[in-house]
Amino acid sequence: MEAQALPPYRRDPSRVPAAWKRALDFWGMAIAIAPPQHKGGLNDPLAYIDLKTRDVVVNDTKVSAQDIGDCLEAIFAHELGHHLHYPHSLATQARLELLEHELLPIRGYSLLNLFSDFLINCTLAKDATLQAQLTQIYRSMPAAAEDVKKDPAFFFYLLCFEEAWMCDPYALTRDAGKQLEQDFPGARAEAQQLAEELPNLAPNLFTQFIYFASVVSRYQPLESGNAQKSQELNPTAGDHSKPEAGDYADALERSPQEKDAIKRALGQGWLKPEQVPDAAASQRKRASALPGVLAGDPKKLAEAMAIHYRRLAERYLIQPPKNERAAEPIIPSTLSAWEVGDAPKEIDWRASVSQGGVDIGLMQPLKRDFIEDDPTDAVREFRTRLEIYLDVSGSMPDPKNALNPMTLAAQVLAMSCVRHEGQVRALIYSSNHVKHWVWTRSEMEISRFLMTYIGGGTDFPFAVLSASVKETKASPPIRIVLTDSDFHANMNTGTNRSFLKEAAQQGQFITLLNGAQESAPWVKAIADAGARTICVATMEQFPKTAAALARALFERKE
Amino acid sequence: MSFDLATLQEALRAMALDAWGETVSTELVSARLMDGLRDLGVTPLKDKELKEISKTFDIESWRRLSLIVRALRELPELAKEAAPLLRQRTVQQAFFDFAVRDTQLLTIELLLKSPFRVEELARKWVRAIGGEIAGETQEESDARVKRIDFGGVLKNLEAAEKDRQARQQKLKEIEAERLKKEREAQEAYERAGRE
Repeated sequence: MEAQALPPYRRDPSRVPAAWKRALDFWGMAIAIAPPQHKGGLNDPLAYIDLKTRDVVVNDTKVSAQDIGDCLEAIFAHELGHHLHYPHSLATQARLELLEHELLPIRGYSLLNLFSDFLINCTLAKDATLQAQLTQIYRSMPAAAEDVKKDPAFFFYLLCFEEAWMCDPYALTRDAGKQLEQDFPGARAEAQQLAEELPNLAPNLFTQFIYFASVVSRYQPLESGNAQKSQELNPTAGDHSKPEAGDYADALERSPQEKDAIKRALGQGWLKPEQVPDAAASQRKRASALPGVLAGDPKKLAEAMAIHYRRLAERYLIQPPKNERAAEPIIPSTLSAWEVGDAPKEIDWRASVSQGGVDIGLMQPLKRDFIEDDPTDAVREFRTRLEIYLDVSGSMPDPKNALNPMTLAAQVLAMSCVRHEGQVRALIYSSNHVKHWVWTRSEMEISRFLMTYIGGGTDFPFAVLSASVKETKASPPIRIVLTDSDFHANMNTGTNRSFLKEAAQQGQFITLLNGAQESAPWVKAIADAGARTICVATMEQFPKTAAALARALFERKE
Repeated sequence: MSFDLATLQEALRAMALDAWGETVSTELVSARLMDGLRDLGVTPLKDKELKEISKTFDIESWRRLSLIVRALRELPELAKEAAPLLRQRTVQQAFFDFAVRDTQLLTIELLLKSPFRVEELARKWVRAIGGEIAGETQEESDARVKRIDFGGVLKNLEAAEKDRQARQQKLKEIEAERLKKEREAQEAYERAGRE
């Protein structure tokens, strides 16, 4: 009964294992990967590989619907190709995604899957059986003339296979191929050139990708106004897992390989100089490419940026020297000779007699040496608490979309405090505020929180400050506000000035003021209210200033 | 007479690899060509005649010629198949027109970069001596040569480039419009926040 429910190609129990083995053999590597699983519906990819766990899944529903049960070997080999070569790792995938967004953005469409699939399938097609199976898979897809409009890039990609594999013209593209050649003059020549040139650009995958994208980007649909997602027809689209937050955080800055690729692309004319952003703009564009709210994954964006900010903050932080308190020497250690002048109580009579006998032991006693209790467990005496108020009003960039130097400064202060055994809590504000008000020693927790953004006007939460002053009477924290001249305006509203005075009297209240000069009246007014003022001429100087402040505040003088 | 394309392609590719970076001696290529023709029963050109014809050849033409001459010397099967055809062709048709005119874009560097170009070189020489490709009809061979002809590809690439530029311009306009709308929306949002 059960066998009847299975698709025809699975009724023979040896078929799937045999295809799996042939696929593994094709790549010629003894890789330990669990046999493929069978799941998925008509809207899921034909097959899938999780690049983290290396689990391969084949979608029986789709395989049956497309009648390609004879092509399992090619399907498996293709998925394994993602793991073994293209992109090989999620770190590389993250870099490729951000590079694509930075240099050749096609809104709502990515060429990455086509790119890695193309490289994999060109390798597979060296085997005639696999080439025939891949042909069958692609021929199971619709290819009417009107389909070209839905996804021209996909039909160009098939045209590239026709040229790379030297098959008959239109063997894969059929009517769509003829339409494509009409809509895009010289498409076949471009396909031939791409098939010819791409392998020569190895081993730098980024060079290959920039070249590939520079050619294929011509085939993005214009009709949709470049703003709608074109209908992706590639049967192996979305067939591997997406990078993690850490992979994206690593990829926020161009790697040397990417820089080489860009240089070469500029030299070859694949990219125009105006397409290549400078270092700062590059990071901004890359950050804005991270999967976020629109991709339904806001947590991943915040997490990736939090990791990125922590890494940037590291550059400003100097590892604090160990601040050890000498421990009591209470652990018995080796024996040594007792000499005149040593304290008689140091003599270990039992050890002296047992080692030297009664006569010699009594004449030449030994003393027991003691060492300190485990010095690595020495206790730090320094404890501090830091309360951060960060202004994230509309004039400041969202830290998730672009590097916000004030957020980075807050990050530097928080991390420095935590690393000096301190505790931190933080509040971000604009016209409203959000707070992480539980004292924490977790860098990760606080950096995630600092990725929050509100935007809008500026309204320092003096009520929260006042409540905090009352709450922390016994052990007042250091309070640092990262803000600008708006703080002055807020301070002069209602009874706010008195709250500020109260806080400044209780403990250290420091303001880091953006765009400020010591002589400015508004800066003086803040100082007169009791706050310590630190003028930061430009936003970019915030992290450095914060690092200097952190050293002054948290590093104990020996 | 039909030729095995794969064998000829592989030989030419290997010879191109050997020739990469080496200086080509025009005297040596000329002497070997004439010797080879003599061995195959084809009347060679007189020295003076050869010098007169070849004085306009560029270095890449000599390189291509040297590949074919070497293939004829080192592949006895090829020489055996080619001999009767060469006897019906002039040296000009079988070698010089082929190397100087028909394949003028195929530099050694290009041959090393692409299997398509090696195939083009091989097919064009077989055609130059009036031979056929084993397993193909004349129409199929003609269609394939036409499809991979580098000159034709370049010409079509020009058309592609023109179209690409027009599309890029259109995309720029669409993108500029989108950015403008985004900027306006952001400004409106910020204004609202400040008020």
